[in-house]
Amino acid sequence: MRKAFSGLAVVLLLVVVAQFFLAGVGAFDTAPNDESFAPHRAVGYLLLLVAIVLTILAAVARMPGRLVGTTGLVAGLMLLQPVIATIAGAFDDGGRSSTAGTIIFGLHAVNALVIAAVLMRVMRQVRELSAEPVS
Amino acid sequence: MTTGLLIIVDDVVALLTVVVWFAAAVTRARRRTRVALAVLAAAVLVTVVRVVTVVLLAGRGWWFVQEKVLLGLPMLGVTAVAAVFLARRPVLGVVALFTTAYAALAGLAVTFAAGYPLAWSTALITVAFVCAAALLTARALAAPVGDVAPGAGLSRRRFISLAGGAVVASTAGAGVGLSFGSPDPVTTGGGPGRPSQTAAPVTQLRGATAPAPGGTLRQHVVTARTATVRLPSGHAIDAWTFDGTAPGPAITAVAGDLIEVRLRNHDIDDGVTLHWHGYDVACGEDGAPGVTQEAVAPGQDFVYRFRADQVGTYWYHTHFASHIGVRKGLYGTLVVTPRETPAGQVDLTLPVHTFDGTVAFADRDARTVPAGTPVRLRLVNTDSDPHRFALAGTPFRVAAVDGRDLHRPGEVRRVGLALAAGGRYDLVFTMPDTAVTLDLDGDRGLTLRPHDDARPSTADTSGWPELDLLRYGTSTAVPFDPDRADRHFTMVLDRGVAMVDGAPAYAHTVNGLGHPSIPDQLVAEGDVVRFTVVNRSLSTHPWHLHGHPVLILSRDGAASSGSPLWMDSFDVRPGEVWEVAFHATNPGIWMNHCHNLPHAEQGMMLRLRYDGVTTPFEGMHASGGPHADGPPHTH
Repeated sequence: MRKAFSGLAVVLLLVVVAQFFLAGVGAFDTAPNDESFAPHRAVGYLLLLVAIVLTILAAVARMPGRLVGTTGLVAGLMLLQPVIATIAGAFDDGGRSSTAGTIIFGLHAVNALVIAAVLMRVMRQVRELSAEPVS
Repeated sequence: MTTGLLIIVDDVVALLTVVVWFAAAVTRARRRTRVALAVLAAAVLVTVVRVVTVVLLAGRGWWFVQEKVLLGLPMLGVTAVAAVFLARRPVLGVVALFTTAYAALAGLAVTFAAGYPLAWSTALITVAFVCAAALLTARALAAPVGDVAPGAGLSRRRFISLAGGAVVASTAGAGVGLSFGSPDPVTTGGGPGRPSQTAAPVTQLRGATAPAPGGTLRQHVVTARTATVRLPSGHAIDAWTFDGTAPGPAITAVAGDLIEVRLRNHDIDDGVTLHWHGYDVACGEDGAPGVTQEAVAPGQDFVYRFRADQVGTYWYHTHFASHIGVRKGLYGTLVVTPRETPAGQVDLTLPVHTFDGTVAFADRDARTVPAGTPVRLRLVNTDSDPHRFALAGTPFRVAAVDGRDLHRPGEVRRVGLALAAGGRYDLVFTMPDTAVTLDLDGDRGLTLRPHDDARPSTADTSGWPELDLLRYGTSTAVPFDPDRADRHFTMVLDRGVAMVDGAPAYAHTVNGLGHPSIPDQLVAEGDVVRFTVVNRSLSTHPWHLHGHPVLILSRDGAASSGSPLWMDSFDVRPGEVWEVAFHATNPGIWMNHCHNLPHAEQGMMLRLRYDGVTTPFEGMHASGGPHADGPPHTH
């Protein structure tokens, strides 16, 4: 089960990288946001789902509490992403973005970096774990 | 504080609740006793604040808080009390704190993913989630099973986890099972249901075939085709057009004329229709694909025929995969003038449309209009988002809204005008001997000059207050009594997880459902029908009922006190509650949807069906299959 966990964690990290790419593609598309960010949005929900599965896997596999917690943190931060986007959108005046909305939306990008960092930490913890002999 | 802002505040406090309860659990798990105690106190405090924000929000309407009051807060309250009492216990305390955090998270998730109305299935799945997370946490925290003395048979811990697992599984199972129950296909709004009687198909509900006495026949052939269009700004864009231009040909008529338009599709692969936005045509002419006709495929055609009995400013657009087609240019204006118009009037029809992020409006060159000339500006919003206009340099009247004249509109100046997606305003004034400018979203849109030397105004219009149409003009009698409605439908608009066209999506929902699962609204001919439209979401929804104008009764409980206000596209902003009514005198099956077209495509669309009317078509697909516009454009 630990193998499954580390495999899935690697997949998660790769998809996170792809997600940055899709955000860039959406940002430079001239179609309305609803349409140009559709792939980014879809992959976002997929990521959240995988992160939740990963957390459950960690808990069921009796991995150290710290690792379960870090993985759960990834899921929590991913859940935060659409919440930030929705709240930022609420400050927009119709189709035009407002200053408040833009600033709040900036947190979406910062949070993305935090997610990537925490995910790296998960990977490191897994590696340390597999370096130890299994008792 | 507006309800929209209150919704955001409540969401942020809910988010904070999740964060502090997790912090309390983590600090406790790490045995940082002092910090843990402080964080726990903060968590309790934030929880109390949350109760306050929910109570405040409840004052704005039950729709805004139902799932919070019935599920989110009770779950949070019970787990929080348990956590406070158990906090000192070693393992149990940590589990209880984490469980409270899960409950806070689950409550927030229900608000964002399910909303109103709260379904039993949602409640069961949510409770099961919290219990499952609690059990998993206990499992992760507890010492490995091997440490327990063997041979004791079924240990207490094992028994609890097995029994707990069974309860969780059956609760979740029941919830999932319930969620597959299909909703009633029809809602009657408190009126009688469907009596069995002979049914007439919409295809028989066609428009007049002859003009009124004295009227003429206005024949058009309109061809839908792809074309390169040069915008007033100079940009060239690949557009989908009617007759090679965007906007398409301006269709005009005089009251009583017969309008006949043959729509041909040259090369719009997805298909195309013509919908006469705001014009109360017979249902068979409405251009709703899958409901009143099939979409017109390349090489095919369809003839629309109706009498121009309604004077005013309207527009037409494709209704097939309209979130793409209209945006790409499949639209045009429809203006019907009275038989007698003021001599020498300058009458400008000014549609605004956004192509690839560039706003196209009137050409920016100044026009010369002699002082003293009566001027009518017909503003048409063909976009999916609202636009803000401001007319500087002259007092003016808003003579008509959505094509319908207002009753004794007063002269106004230095006001902003918010125009909903799909909506129209007619502004009238007498040309002064100084320049007049029309600003669009803070930019100069149009300049009229009495002579070449007149300098345009440089006034900053962005701070001007918005004209409230619910208090504009003078009240007068209306043709029906909205207080004696035969049917009353409530539509709560939100975002949530729902099925849209057979696939799960984070949809724009009506009463928690997405198209085509939203029940049809059933009415009978002659009914007075009331809508309560509630916007629980954080985006603006321009509501648009086909085939009928609605009379605006109130917004957020404040009754409309000005001229009777008839609209076909009205903006329901976040947190707003609109009461509107209409007289059901135009039989058919009518689309009733958000005119932010991507929202409609993502589920926010339903049908209003007259009793006894059927359709031979198989139903509207919100999306027109894969986007036929190739890979995304990049800079």
